[in-house]
Amino acid sequence: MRGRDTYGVDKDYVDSVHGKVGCINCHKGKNVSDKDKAHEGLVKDPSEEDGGGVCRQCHSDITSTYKNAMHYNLTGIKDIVGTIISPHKMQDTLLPAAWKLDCANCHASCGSCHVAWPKVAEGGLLNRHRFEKNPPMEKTCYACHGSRFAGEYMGLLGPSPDVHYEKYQMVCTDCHKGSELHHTMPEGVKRYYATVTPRCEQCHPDAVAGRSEVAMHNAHKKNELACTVCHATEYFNCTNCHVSLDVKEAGNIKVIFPSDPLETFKIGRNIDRSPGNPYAYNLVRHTPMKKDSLASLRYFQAVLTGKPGPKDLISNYDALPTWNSASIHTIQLKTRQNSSCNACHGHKDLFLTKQDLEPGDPKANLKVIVNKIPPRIRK
Amino acid sequence: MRKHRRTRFTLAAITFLGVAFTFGLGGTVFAAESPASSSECIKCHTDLKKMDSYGAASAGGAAAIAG
Amino acid sequence: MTGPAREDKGFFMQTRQTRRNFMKRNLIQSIIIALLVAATGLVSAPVTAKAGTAPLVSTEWLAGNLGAPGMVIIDVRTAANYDFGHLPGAVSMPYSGWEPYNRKTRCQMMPSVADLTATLRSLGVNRSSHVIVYDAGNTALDATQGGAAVWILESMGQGNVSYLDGGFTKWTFEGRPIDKIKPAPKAGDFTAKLDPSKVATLKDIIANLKTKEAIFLDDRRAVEHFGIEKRPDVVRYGHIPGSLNFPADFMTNAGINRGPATIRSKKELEAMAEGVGLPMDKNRKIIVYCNSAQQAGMGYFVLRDIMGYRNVQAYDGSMLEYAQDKKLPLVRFAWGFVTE
Repeated sequence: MRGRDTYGVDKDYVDSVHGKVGCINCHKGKNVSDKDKAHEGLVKDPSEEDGGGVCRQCHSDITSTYKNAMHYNLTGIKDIVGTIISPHKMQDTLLPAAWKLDCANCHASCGSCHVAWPKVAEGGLLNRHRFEKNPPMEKTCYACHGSRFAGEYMGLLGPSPDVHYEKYQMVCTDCHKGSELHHTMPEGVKRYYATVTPRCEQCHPDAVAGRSEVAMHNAHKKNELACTVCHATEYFNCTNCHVSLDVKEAGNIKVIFPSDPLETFKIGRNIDRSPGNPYAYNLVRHTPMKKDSLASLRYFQAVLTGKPGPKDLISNYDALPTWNSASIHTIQLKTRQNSSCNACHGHKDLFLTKQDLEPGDPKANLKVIVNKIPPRIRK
Repeated sequence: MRKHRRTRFTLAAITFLGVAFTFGLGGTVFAAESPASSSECIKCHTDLKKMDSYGAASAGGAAAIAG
Repeated sequence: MTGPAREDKGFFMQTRQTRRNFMKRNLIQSIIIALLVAATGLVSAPVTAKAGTAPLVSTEWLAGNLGAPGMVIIDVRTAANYDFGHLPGAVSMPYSGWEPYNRKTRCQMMPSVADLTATLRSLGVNRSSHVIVYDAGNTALDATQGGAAVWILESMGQGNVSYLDGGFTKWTFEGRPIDKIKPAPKAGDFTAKLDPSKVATLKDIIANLKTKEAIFLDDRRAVEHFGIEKRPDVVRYGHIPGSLNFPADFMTNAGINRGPATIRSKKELEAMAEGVGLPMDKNRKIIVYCNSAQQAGMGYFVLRDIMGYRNVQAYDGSMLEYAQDKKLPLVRFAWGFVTE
């Protein structure tokens, strides 16, 4: 999904509540007709600073929590990278520079969802500067959550789309409310422990094990299986990622990080159990990190700063698994594995087992594998 | 007595002019907070055809899908 | 020297003993001189790197042989990329210099013999050098730049050339060292000499349209071969009649997810060649072309150096030149095939 770097503003926006504030009062710059002079001191995204920028003046109820939210801070990435490079510190490596060059492009300020395309989609106004209360998902959510969520949800990747899109044209915000996105993440909480997250039972209370009309639901203990274990289809994974830099022109550097695709379906143990995510087993997605994924940064650091970076940057690789709890958005009522009990029971290929691990995989993967798969049911 | 009236009249006129002037200035100050002070910004950016031509010129190539 | 000093009255005037001494002395001298000459020869002749004739070198091999005497590493990426960081000891010759715009043919062509000689000499290339060429190695297109540079070097008489498989991308992915140091090599003694058996001209193409001696091979993308798309600066759509299509894009592992763009295995390439209709007889003559000879140069390198076809020419002017003459035939909306 790419943006359009158009900055045309509609006249009716100018007369709107936000428009009446006045361009210069938020964007700075000068009120002159010469383009370059007018753009001197221009603040492209005045909502950026400290969780809300100028928006704080009227929307402090949201910005006060948003500044600690994951979409703003990208704490998820920092968390993971910080863990696997331990004891190295990010500031001693090229990672802060790489962060600025690429990772931070998914950083979402108020404006990068409600007014313009996000930075990763190269900016530009969504709708002639009008403020979108419910931003169109194809232009905002998909820009960052593109290949896996958007692709799976719409059926561009994998065998079928998600029934919520296919049959009911539901959009991201039908489940993921603004309050969830604007929400503060408590200190130290990881993404998978999300305290405010949609649960299938919120719309499908009859599906809960023990209370359901569906025999298969009641056959399993409560909170044993995540809904997607039975109701999702094969999904997209990445493997074998490595990083390099490509200099488009002096000062314009692009980060390259291709990874090999892998279509698969794997049930694993849920190592992120929490009240918001209580299941014993869920689907796991392969993430592409390898022990030497960041090996190139050592010498890129040498050419940029004169001193090479640490030899073994990902020194704590074993700490985090490369098969992670995933919310697969390819939900269907009937799937290959729920067509009968024995369509799942006894099928080793559906489960993440030791045979699926590769030499050199992090030790943490051993926590995710299913040691004993459910046996075939004999009548 | 006439002189007294004239003085009063002059005073009133001056006061009136002063008040009008003050409010006039005040009007200008308030006007600085209104869109009129970004008039040049608006003039250029609401010319949609021109704005879109900038976009078309610099658009090119596909941004990789993140995530 | 042993032996009494005697007035040299000529060889035959001397006594037998004197003659024997004389001959012994000369023999010893000759042997010593011969040994000295041989030793000098050994010292001055540069030791070429072990894989001197291997068309493809791996990053692992190169890492273990950096700085080998006689090795010249040429980086064909842009100057911006080279300046940012390059393989240690590499010199820069961006691809744009390998196929500059030629006013006469109004398209990209190899440099003249004189120009290429001057450029390569300034980069320190000697007659005996082992040249290693590398490109960005990220996309399939990157690989065609390196491949074409290899074709040009071989066509101009520099046969001792290897291509670094996977290029800069693979090198950096593996965490191998790069630096910013710009070498200042001594001027080399390489002299370019065009080998027409490796480079086809427009005349060759026109002749072959009649004789059908060589198989035309179009290395462009399928949509360009089929004639539903074309490069904007190519005048007409379509392909040369009778040509097969083997897109250069398919020759590497770059794929949708890009890098590193390593060359496919010989086994895969042979299967593809067979699949697109190329003969298995490696002696058959092939003329490969594309738009500007960039992809065709890669095609030459893959067909000849990797797959072993002995008689391959790349058409330098390619479609940019050929399509200009509206009298020359082009086929559109059909796949090419060889009529035997």
